[in-house]
Amino acid sequence: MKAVYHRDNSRRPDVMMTPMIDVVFLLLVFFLATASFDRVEQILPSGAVESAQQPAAGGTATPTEPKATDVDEIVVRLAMNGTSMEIFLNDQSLSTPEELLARLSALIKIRQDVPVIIDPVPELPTERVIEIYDQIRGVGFTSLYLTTQ
Amino acid sequence: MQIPNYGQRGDVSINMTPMIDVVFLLIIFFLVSSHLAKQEANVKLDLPVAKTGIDNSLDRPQLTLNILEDGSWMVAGQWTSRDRFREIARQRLTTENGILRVKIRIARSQPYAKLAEALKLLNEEKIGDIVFGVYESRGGT
Repeated sequence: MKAVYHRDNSRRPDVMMTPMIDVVFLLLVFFLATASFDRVEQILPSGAVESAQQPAAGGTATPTEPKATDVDEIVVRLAMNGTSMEIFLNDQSLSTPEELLARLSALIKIRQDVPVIIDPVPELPTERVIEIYDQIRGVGFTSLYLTTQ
Repeated sequence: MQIPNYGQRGDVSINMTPMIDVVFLLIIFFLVSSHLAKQEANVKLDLPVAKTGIDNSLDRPQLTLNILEDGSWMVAGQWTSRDRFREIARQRLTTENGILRVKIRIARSQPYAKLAEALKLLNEEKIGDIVFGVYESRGGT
């Protein structure tokens, strides 16, 4: 009778390292290749571009509560004073961007579809223009225009 | 002499391991190459930051204009003059049947005059669908 010899494999499992290293290496390459270490880029939609003609800014500034008839268009002028930015809302000087946002928040309650024209001076860094543009969009205005003079 | 028996079809088995290996390598190859192609179109730029930015849906044909730190213009990895860009925009507008979105990626340090120059050119070409490339704002920065 032929004796059957059983190897006792239970104590020392035969782990095959080569395919495991293959798979681990492939997984490593896969995750390294697909991972993106760049900052997330988004888009900021623009309404349209106001042509070179300067929009007529409202004559006398009205610091009191705005009326519905006052808001045919809003002109936000951005100027430079040394390194700091000056903000004018319909020719009325504002001290901070927060003040501009407060005024605009009051205006949007009257009319939402009023066009907002942003008129920056050419030397103002784009970063500041986009910052104000973004903040006005955040208030809820959708018709935003940039002047290109 | 041993005669091979080719008649036994039941013994044929497909070895899946090398096939999976190859398929996986192909997936990696295409992922990496598409990633690199995207990087080529998107030049590294220090873009402005915005809170109200939205994801680029790419639901319409798009032309990307990069305005670099030195004020030069770049389209699809190529330095481009203003006139050449105007030509490219016109061509794309024709081939896309008048539906074209222009994405402007401008370095944040650039003066507004540089952006205004591009906006004016696009306005002259009657392109109104303009978007700005921005970085997502992190924690109100």
